[in-house]
Amino acid sequence: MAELGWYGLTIAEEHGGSGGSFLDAALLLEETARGQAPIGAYGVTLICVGALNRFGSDEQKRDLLGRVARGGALAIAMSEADAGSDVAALKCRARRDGDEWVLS
Amino acid sequence: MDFSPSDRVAQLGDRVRAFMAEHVAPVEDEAMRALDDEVGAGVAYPAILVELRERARAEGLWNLFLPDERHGPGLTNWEYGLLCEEMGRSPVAPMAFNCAAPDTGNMEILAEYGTPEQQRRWLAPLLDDHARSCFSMTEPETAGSDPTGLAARAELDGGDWVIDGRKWFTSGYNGASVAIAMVVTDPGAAPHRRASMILVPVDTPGFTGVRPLPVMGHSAGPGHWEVSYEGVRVPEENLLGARGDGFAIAQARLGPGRIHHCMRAIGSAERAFELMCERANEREAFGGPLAEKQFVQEFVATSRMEIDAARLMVLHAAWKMDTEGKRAARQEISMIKVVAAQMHQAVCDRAMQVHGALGMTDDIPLALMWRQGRWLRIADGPDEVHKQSIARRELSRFKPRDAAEA
Repeated sequence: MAELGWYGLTIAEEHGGSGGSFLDAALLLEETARGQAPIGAYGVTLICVGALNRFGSDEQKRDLLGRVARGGALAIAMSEADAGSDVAALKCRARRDGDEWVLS
Repeated sequence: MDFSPSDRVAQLGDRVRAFMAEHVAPVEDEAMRALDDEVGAGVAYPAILVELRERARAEGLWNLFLPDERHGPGLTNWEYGLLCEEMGRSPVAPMAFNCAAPDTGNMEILAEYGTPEQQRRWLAPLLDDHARSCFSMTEPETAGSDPTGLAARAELDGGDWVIDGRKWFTSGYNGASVAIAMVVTDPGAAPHRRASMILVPVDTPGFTGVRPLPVMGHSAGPGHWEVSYEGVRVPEENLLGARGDGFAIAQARLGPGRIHHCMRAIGSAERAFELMCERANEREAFGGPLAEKQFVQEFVATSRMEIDAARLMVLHAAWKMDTEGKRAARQEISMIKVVAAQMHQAVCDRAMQVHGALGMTDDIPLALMWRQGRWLRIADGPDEVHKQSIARRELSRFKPRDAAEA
């Protein structure tokens, strides 16, 4: 899939992607789902790529989007045992400590 | 119609409830895992269930389903139905009380149609010990809902029945000691007289388990098996009931069984309903408990109405069976089979929805209950076959008189 340019479908060419649109991604998802291709993580990766495209720094894009384009996957850690749909009620905290974020 | 339970059933109900809270609920998860891990050839029940069964038997909470007073307390369908609701709250409880399908139906027909020798050899271990049995009727190549089309054959040869054919959804085959096979003995007879029931010990040469069918991701434990009969020889006296009576016995087996299934579905739905309401009260989202959201209130109200309506229908069907007989209650039995199964699935589905992603996990029993409930919409006749029978009976009441007689 990476060789065919599918993983990097919505990633800009300068980061190793195919420079496609969401419509291209939708068509790909429809066809692969029709064939029951076992690529469940691809949809989540696509969401992460969208977030990186919009909010990522150049360094993050170069590193993470490059890895996705070469066949890597990304995951989202959002739902918590006590909050799911109500994202505003999340409890997991990130605290700044010097030049690092500490997650707990 | 009096909807207050008799004294003996009120008392039995209290004891079943107490037994379940004290002994079944704490080990339910462990027992479900043990069924998958330990059941196999020669092992009908895992150790933890044998222990539960010994205790239930010692307390007299045993074989409650049998209306025959020689073998059990002789409860009516209506009385036993009330107990089934209690037992239906846990997927392992029916086995703990020796009230689990398909053994219940098999024991009923062995008690009713079995010869003294058949009862000694096959019924006694099911009633008093920790044996299991299976029922082998449905075939992969012929329509399960229409047993007049069965293909598996048995022919008499020198005092033996020789059985050949392929069955599937022989539920509980793994670990069972005997199968009751419904096979064609008289291919030239009228459609409802072609098949007979024959007792086949599972270790008979030529009778083999082909594979456990993977049912919604699960294939372990007693399972639903595809089995093969190749030149399987059993003595002529293993015929259960009269030759050609297979269809009639199958029908007799299903009436009470449907009351049991439906009341267990109601018990299971009540448990799902409780989990849903507890979750709705506890879980906060968007500034308040889920219980304050009108969508969730709609789930709760609809579920309560559906559960109570189904219960009244099932108890009414049981009462009619007890007072007027199985045949008179045919329409009611068809109706509850559809109503209870659909209600159960809908209630479990709403309860899962209120639990969000947690509802998809096996951390809580809802997904298991939903799977078992989905099954009930097909087992013992799909919804559509029952609806067809219901509609035909109703329509026939309105046919012009001479057309009805023709």
